[in-house]
Amino acid sequence: MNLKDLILQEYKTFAPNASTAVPKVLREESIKQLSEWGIPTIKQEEWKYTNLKSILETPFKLNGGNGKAEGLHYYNINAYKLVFVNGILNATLSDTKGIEAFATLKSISEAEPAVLEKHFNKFHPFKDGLQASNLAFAQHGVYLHVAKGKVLPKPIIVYFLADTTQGPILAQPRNLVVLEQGASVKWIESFQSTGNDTSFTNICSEFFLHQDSHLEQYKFQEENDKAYHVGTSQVVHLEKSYSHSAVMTWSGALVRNNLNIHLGAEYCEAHLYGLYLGNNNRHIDNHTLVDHAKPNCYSNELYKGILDDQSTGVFNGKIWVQKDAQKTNAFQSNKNVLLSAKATMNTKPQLEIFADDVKCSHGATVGQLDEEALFFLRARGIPVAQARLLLMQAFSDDVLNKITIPELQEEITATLAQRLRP
Amino acid sequence: MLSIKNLQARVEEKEILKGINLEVKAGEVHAIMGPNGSGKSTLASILAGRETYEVTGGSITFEGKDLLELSPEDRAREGVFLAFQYPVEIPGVSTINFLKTAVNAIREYRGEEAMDAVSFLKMMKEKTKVVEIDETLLKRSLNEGFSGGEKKRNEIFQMAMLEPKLAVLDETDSGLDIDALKIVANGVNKLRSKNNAVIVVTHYQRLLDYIVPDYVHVLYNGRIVKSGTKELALELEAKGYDWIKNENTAV
Ligand SMILES: Nc1ncnc2c1ncn2[C@@H]1O[C@H](COP(=O)(O)OP(=O)(O)O)[C@@H](O)[C@H]1O
Ligand SMILES: [Mg+2]
Repeated sequence: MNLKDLILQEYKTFAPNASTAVPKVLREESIKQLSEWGIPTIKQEEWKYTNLKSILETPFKLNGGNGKAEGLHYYNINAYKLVFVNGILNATLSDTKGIEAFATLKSISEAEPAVLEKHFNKFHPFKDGLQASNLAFAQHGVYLHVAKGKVLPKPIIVYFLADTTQGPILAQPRNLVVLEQGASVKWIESFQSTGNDTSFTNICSEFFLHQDSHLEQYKFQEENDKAYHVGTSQVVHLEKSYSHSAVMTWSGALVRNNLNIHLGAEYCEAHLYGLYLGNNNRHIDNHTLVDHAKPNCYSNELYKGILDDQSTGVFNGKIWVQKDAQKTNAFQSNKNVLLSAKATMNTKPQLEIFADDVKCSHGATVGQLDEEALFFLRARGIPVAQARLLLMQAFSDDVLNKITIPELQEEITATLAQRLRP
Repeated sequence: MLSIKNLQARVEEKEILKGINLEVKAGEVHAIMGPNGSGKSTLASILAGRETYEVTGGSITFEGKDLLELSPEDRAREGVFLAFQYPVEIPGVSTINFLKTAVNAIREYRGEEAMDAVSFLKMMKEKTKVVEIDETLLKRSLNEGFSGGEKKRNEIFQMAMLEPKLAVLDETDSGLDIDALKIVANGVNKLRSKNNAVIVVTHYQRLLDYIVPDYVHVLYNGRIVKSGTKELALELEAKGYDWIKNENTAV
């Protein structure tokens, strides 16, 4: 059975017991969309370079099974912790003690309907079959509602582990994070997988930022070479809110990250950072959108990639400056280093500007390691492999420096250095 | 220490060096002069191991080893140092950062223990004084936004840190004012000993007032066409390079 039919069939078992926190009409509408649109194919403009066909016939299990968290790698940080295995929360391994003083933390299936109605599924510029499927199955995932003026005293880290030791797994977590006025959160998502079978994570995380709130969100992907990942993160900004997103990918078979930022009120600021390391046959696709809907907002985007072997990278960066959005400042840069003649990178900035008083810039480069710099370092006695590593680290530091949690920055930097070492 | 015999080299189809002979002994300072485009930087780059040049004939022996067989990093670890005519900028790599790696890579090659952070910083402090280079500069991305003089001083600082046996300075004096020139010369003179040798590639005799050479060679059109003592530099200064050019086209 193909993936679409598999999902449609599973829905029949799932729907009668689905939580009503997520309105039934939304689920029904979405499952209909999936049925009409199907799983995205390369015929769709947004999926031109990323082909999901190799998992269309995989006999995925959708309901989590009894996955184990063995082999999960915990980051060395002091943080609230949530562990999901095959899309289902493992409460024993989670620890969020004390968070109640600052926020309401629940499963999305138990979310407060009034809050959900105001903040859930509010921005979906490129809804496709997979996003529709995710919404239809919105049941497991984090609902975090941070109260007015509250600053979470430590970051919250959510681990999503796919355990394929019992067979292929499809997980579709759905998260909603609402920051009330002046609230502040550092949110980390870590994706991992164990076992030798195929995993497919189809995730969506939504962030709703009220006035003067402050979000930092990180996405670290270290799933194994059998892992497929399609994820959408959406940030909706209200007045004077601030977001800082960093997405880092260094493993997985195929990874597609969508990051959509909606600057829906004045004086908002959004920073978007990405780092991706491709090797072997890895495919890493980052699609971003910054939607400047209102005047006086600032956005800054920097995505960098290093691609080796036969790996492929895709970057598509959209900036929309709507008619209203005068005095917009929007910057975008995508830089790539190809280490092998067989690695490929497709990069495409896409600016659509309908206001006249704006400052926008974008740039994309695809090149090799600087030969002159390499010769210089060797001429100073540094062996060629180490010299290359130094240059690659220098290249990625711009993005790694944007991890504001020092222990985490240190750990990820060390992990990536290990990965880059020949 | 260094013995270059009948060295010929080309880049793509262009012949650049047409048979260079040069003997440098420990303790000596050699100056190589000559008009633009005569092959001075090519010679310096080949000594350091730049792969864009193809050596088509001849040999280079350094301390008894066939230099042409060694990778650029091994040449450096054997004690060859090139101060680049055009110092490279490397975003994100600070001088301190790569020097720490370089110093230890060289020590490892010699079978010495890695230098700890404290000793490294101490050594760095001493050497910054010699070339009067601002320490904050060394923490910044290599040469990015540095003035011409700062870049050249940084090259000499690196030389001081790495303590090479043979230093090749490729037009380290160009673009320097007289004060900076003295500082650079002072840095080089501090390195001079009976165990080390220096090859100074320069356009002008000005630098040779401060780094006094034992021998002066004139490179023209891929060949050393004249060799002499420091008086030759003065003669060149007085007569200009046309003198050399005319003499060599006449032949
Ligand atoms: N990488 C290169 N590609 C092509 N020509 C080169 C290259 N390097 C040097 N040359 C040529 O070789 C000749 C010698 O250059 P160079 O060694 O830089 O001279 P100098 O340092 O004496 O000014 C010049 O004609 C120059 O144009
Ligand atoms: Mg030159």
